[in-house]
Amino acid sequence: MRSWFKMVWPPLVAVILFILIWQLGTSVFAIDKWVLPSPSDIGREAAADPANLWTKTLSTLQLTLLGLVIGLAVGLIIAIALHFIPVLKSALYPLIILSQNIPTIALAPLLVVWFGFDLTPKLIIITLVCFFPVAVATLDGLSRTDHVMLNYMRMIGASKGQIFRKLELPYALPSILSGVKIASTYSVMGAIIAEWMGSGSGIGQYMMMQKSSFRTDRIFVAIMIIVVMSLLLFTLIVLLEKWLIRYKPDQEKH
Amino acid sequence: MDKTSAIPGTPVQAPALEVRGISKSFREKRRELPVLNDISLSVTPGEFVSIVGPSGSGKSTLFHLIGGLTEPDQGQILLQGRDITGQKGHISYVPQQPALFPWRTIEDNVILGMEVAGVPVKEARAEAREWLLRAGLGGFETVYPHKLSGGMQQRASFLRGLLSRQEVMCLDEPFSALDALTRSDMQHWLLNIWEENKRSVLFITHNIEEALLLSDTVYLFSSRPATVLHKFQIPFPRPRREEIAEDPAFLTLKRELTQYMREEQHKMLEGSR
Ligand SMILES: Nc1ncnc2c1ncn2[C@@H]1O[C@H](COP(=O)(O)OP(=O)(O)OP(=O)(O)O)[C@@H](O)[C@H]1O
Ligand SMILES: [Mg+2]
Repeated sequence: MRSWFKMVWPPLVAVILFILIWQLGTSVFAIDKWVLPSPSDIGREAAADPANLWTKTLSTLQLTLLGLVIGLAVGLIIAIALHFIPVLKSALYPLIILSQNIPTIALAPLLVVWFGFDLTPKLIIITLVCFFPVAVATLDGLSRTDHVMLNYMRMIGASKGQIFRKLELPYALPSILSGVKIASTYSVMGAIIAEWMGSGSGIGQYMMMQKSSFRTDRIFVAIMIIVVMSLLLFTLIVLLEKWLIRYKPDQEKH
Repeated sequence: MDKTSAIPGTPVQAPALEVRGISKSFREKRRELPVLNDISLSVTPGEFVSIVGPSGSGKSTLFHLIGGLTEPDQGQILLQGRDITGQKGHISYVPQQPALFPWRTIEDNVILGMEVAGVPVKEARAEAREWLLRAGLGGFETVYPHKLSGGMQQRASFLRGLLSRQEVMCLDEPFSALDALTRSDMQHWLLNIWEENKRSVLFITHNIEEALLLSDTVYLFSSRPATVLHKFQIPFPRPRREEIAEDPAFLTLKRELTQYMREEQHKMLEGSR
């Protein structure tokens, strides 16, 4: 507990200092509010209409989680399929890697043309950005399975399914979870971008509206919400990881 | 423990495990690398057989062949007279490193072999608990492997092999990663457990004294490509005690084997020059 506190306070002080300097800077240099609002301006704006912000946050959160879950499922299914069918892996794995050089955002207008402005293209965008880290981390974890353990399982006559369930999957779990962590931050980004391009009722759409009326303070409020949402999601997955991999209390140290 | 020891009155006993004329080579950079050359050996039911041979002579490869991981170029593996060449699941195996699954508790690790064979988990657990007590691992049932010392992990790994339903156990240098004192403790522990249960065991080791202490029969392998140089019957009565290591007959036998091993090592060094 004490060491945890020791780790947390230096960055915390840094953040507080940063906000103080920001506050002082805006008033000392008399910066226009539409260029850079002060932290107190942002705070005041956030407190002005919390109910409205809350609904928008929930809407984006819903989209994010739905997209993340679909992305994770797609990533896992692809990884497992490629793992079990080596021919498929050698044919498709390079293509999947290559596909990541396509900026997904570039596909957004196309998706709108194909699917309109409803939920589908948004979910596709999020899935596209989420599946990759999960698929790669899963495949990587599965292919790293300890050889002695694998030989043991094969020698005693374990079936492919048994080897997968009892050895490969649990062995790959830490790797899979690190992929999920990356995917979770990507999913928030994907959701915001999806809302920018289409209609919607979330934070992304709120940002676009404020942009056209130069309400920089409100854009900042939206940014704060997105940051907090990302951090919360990330924390949730770290906790899940701690719980799932409780057999190794200090992984880093050994 | 399902014992397949001789039913009284059976005239001729098929060996629990027989290796018949096994040869194997690997292809490495387009060059043939012969590893095993016409190896034959047998383990009768309830016999403890050791293989002693220089490093890299192909001992682990032989286990992989017996376990069905790879197929031999020539020869057969027979289990109670039945050809099982290239088939998996017929032997229980204790690898060189304990290779316990870190996400399983000690108890769950020990039942793995039974679990794979389809033994109901409840039954397997009950058996495992009893054996963990006997193996001095009582109180560690629900602990994860990383909390255990190397010797304790190796004991758990051995129990995992012992509780598996297959009759023949193959142990690949199970003590080589342990320090001398732990190693000697483990040898006596294994001796006791085995003398109580008399499973058919095929045991790989580098250590001649270890082989003499534990075995009924010792096969001496040459360096690569491995052939069987010699087969020694170890005459000491059972149950054996620690003091046997000071017996003059034991020392003579040890010297003889050491001499053979040394000559082999020399040949290997000259060969690599
Ligand atoms: N899959 C493989 N492909 C090519 N060469 C192999 C393969 N497996 C083993 N070898 C070679 O076969 C030889 C024998 O290896 P093996 O592991 O069976 O020796 P060992 O007697 O068990 O040695 P040690 O006592 O050090 O464990 C080694 O030279 C090794 O490089
Ligand atoms: Mg070996």
